[in-house]
This record gives sequence, C-alpha cells and structure tokens, in this order.
Amino acid sequence: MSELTYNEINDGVLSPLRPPRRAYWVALVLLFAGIGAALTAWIIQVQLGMGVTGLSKPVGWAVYITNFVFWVGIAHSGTLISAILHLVRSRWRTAVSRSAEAMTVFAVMTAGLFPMVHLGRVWVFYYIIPYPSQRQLWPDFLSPLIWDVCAVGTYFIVSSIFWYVGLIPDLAAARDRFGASHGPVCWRTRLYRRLSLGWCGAASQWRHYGRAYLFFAALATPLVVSVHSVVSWDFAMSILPGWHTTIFAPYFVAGAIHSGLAMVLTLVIPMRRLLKLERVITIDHFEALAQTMIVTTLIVGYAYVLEPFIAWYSGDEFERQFALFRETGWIAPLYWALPLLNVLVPILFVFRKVRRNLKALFAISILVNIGMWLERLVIITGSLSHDFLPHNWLSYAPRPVEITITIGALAFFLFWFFGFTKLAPTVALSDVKEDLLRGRRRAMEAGEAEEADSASREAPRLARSAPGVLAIFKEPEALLAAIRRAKKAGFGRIEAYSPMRLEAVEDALGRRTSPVRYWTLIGALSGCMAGSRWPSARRSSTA
Amino acid sequence: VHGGFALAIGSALVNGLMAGGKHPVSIIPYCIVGFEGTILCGTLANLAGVLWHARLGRPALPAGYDERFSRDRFGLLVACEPHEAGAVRSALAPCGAEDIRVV
Repeated sequence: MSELTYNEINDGVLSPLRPPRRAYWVALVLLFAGIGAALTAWIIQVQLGMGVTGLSKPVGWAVYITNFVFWVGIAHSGTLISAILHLVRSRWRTAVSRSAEAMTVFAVMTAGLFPMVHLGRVWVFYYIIPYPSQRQLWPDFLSPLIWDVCAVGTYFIVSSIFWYVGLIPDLAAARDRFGASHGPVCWRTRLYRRLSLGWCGAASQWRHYGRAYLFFAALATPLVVSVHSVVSWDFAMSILPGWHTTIFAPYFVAGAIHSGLAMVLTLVIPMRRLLKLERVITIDHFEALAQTMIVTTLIVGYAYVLEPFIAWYSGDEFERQFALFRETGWIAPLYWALPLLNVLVPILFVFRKVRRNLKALFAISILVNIGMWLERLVIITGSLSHDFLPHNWLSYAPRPVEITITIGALAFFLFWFFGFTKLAPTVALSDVKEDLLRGRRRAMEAGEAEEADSASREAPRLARSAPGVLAIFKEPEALLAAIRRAKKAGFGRIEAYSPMRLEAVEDALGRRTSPVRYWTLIGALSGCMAGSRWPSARRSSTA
Repeated sequence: VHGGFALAIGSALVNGLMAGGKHPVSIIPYCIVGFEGTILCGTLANLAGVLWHARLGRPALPAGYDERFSRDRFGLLVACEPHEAGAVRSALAPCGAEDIRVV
C-alpha cells in the first residue's frame, strides 16, 4: 500500500460509490425477500402466540436469545478494531476499521430485534424503558435484564456516534468528489454535503476532532468489555448448573471478539473483491486479523477446558451431572462441535500459509461463525433443558417460525451492510492517508523543533469569510515551511487545510490542547452521578 | 438530566419495594447503571463538544476552500488586508506552492 499516492487512495475508496450493477440489485431484492419472510413469520407468531415456536417448559430461552447473544457478540470486534487498536496505535486497523464499525452498528440493530421477538407481547416492550408512567411503575435496576437494556442501548448509541464521527472527513471527500464530477445538485453531492456537516479539513477542526476521537475510543473501550459481561450476567446471575459461574464474563467477551473478528473476515474478503479494494485492503491486513484471532482462540479454548474442570473440582453434584449431560446427552454432538469449530479450526492460523490464503481465511471464518452461534445455543438451551429436577428434563428443537426469523435476521444484517457499501466510504480514507504519511514523519518532526519559539503564540481562528491569500501545496512539508515563513513575516492569522490530521501543523500553528476534554469530563460525571429525586419519591418518603 | 446512579436510586425509592427486610436501594448493582450513564453522557457531551468547537453543522464552506483539500493537496490561508497581499505572496513563494491566489 505504501506505493500508493493520496489521490489513488481517494479514487480507490470512493470509486465503489458509483451506481450499482444489476447483480447488486438482485442481491438486495433477495435479502429484502428474506426480511419479508421473517416479518411474515413474526406476524404469525404474534397472532397465534409463542406456541408456534419450540419454546416450552423448561426451555423458555432458545434460538431467539441465542441470536441476541450472537449478534451482540458480533458487534464487539468493530469497537475492538476501531477503539482499542486506535488507543494502542495499531496501524493495520485503518484498512478494515470502517467496515468493522458499520458491522458493529448493524449487528446491534439485528440483536435488538430479538428481545422484542422473544417477548411475544411486543406491544408492552416499552415497560422496560425507564420513564415515569402514570402507574409510577419503574423498572427494577437490580435485574440483569434491565442492565442489559442499559448496556446494549448505550453500546448502540456510542457505536453509532463513533462510526459517524469517523466518517465525517471521508464524507467530505465524497462530497468534493461528487461535486466535481456530478455537480452540486446531484443527490449524492447534496447527501454528502449534509452528512459531512461543513467539514473542510482545517487544522482547527482536526485539532478538536483528533482529541474527541481519542475520547470516543477511550470511552468505547471499557464499554466493549462491559456490554458482553452484562450479557453474560443474564445467565450467570441465575443458579442453574452451567450458567452460575464466575468465568462467564471473560468467557463471553473473548467469544464475542472471536466471532466478531471472524465476521469481519467473512464480510471484508468478498467486499474487497467486489469493490476492487485490493490495493487498499491487502493480505497483510487479513493476516493481522488472523493473528488477533489466534489470541481469542486460545482464550476460548482455555474457557472450554475450564468449564468441565470447574464442574469436577467444585464437587457440586449438579454441576458434575450437567457436565456429564453436555458430554453424553442429546446435546453432545453440538457440544463436541464447539472445540472443533472454535478452537481446532482457527488455531490453524498459527501457520503463515493459512493466514495468507484468502480461501482458507474465508472458510475458517464461516466455520467459526457457525461454531460461535452453536456455542450460544448449547449454553442457553443446555442448562435450561437439564436443571436440578430429572422429571423436568426435556430436549429442544427450533420450529420453522424460529428458523425463518433467524435467517431473516441474517438477511436484515446483510441488507444494511450492502447498503453501506454503496452509500459510504468503506475504508477510513483520512486514516489510511495518515498512515502513508507516517513513513515520512521524521521529515515532519525535524521541522517541529524550529516551531518551539512560535508555538508559544496561538494563531487566532479565522472567520469563514476572512479575506486573504491562499496557497496550495503538494506536500505537507511545504505547508509546514510556509506556515513558518508566514509567521516569521508577521502574519499570525492563518489557517491550514489538509486531507488528514497533521499534528506537526497544529503545533506549528501554536494551537493548544482542545477544550473538548472539559465537555467530556462534565458529561461523564453528570452521567454517572447527577440527578435528583422525583417529586413522587419525596411525596412517598414524607407520607 | 439524571445520571445512572440517580436513575437507579430514584426508581428504587419510587417503587419502595421491601424484599426480605432489605432497603430498596442497593448500590453495588447500580454501579452498572452508573457506569453506562457515565459512558453514554460522556460520549454525548464529547460529540457536542466537537460539534461546537470544530464548528460543524454549518454546510457553508470557508472562502477559498478548494475541493482538493479533501483529496491530496494542502492549503494555507493567510488572512491579510488587500494591500498586504503582495507581501504574503512573496513570503510564501519560496515554499514551492502550486498555486497562490487572493481570496
């Protein structure tokens, strides 16, 4: 990728936004048909009741909750790639981060369908939302299910904001490209103009943007860990054998990232080929993803070993009989498929040849996706179908309604992802350009020492209509030199524009740390603590 | 605006349900709601901060903005009075600018 120019990156990433071909529309219609089938199945379920599903006593949670946990898990790797790898300055993330973020948002949307589908009486879903109803009935925040609503709702909002803010500079690039090629009245130009919010790549914008993006990453990182931990507590807070265990939170988080990384491979490998992004997303990026999966594979494998060990070591009769049931009961074929699909298959990534073979990567990623879905099914239905009372034991099999809704949910997810690939840049343009520049950073940093004296005076911000002289440069080094000369000549009211963030330019302009940090701090503190008791609470306490 | 702890504690006090003789407020489980509130409101405030300080949300672009700035070119706008334009031009000329114009 290092041999590419900024312009080639721009063209390579924005070219796929051209009008789609017929095959794309056919795929979209098929996905829409899948969504329609799921909607029909759901209407049947609402009309006839939950009896049309395979749910019964004691298996009250099954495929729907499996789907919920699976899709929430899929959502995790997007934030991992974008937020955590951003904080640790990992360079390979830039090529796949945008697609992974989009995948996160669409996966949470898909996951969010299932609590409502599972609820049966969907029209009372609003009971779970904390608002002052006329009956003064509030949700009980002691319940893990309410924690789940808070955690997944927060995750959806934060992921969506993180994704959109990351897109803003790239939407501006799309706006300028379509403005030049299709004119200002083309619907795409107008769409990107609105969505890019007037982004112009000024150094004053990059300064606040860079700081805010860092805070988004810092806030999203603990959220990633918390969300699937909270999901795991839906189960671990109960006393059922197989669920009531302290390893569930790290086990779920590792499994979520494992499946999410696999889904990134499943989506990005064909997307790269169909959108002709081979020069921007290289085999090195896939190899880095596969290497990350080796880590999650080992953690998941450790959890698989630990589960039966804890059952044996605890000496608990019920845990032991449940472990035996998993290994030998009706669920055993599914149970034994888990180490095969989720550990033994992806551990093949230790071989470099496998990591650099696209067909192998794609095949393994699909097997891991299947394996991780089965893992959730085994965890959820297994414990419910085999609890403390032998006369209560029962098996479970999904009915056509559940299968149709499950397939429809996959179509729903892919429908959004397909739409994304044609409407927004699928690669983080400004980040990739910044990566290219990083190779030449020494040259940029050499000039920074000379800025020390001028950095003490902050260049004032210009009004948008400020008259002046505009100079256009091909290289950032020339821009830096020009800033120095302009300041030396006594011109202090200056603004710089660039397609990516240039910290050296911000330093040369003498701009100080962004005050966005105060906004974030005040927001976070008020989100944690602020508030007052309700008038009704005061009434009841004084009564 | 109510933070996570205030929401959870307030709800418990409104309901006032005593179970097993325990006080309706239980701080440890409310830490989860407080944590989620911290992240959510911190993110929303961060968004508001960047929108405000980066002056986003105004579709009009600055005078002299060149569409190449989002692609592969770097720009420097030096604000000056019309009679100073010559001095600015001569200061920037040795830096290898592709184009210098008055805006």
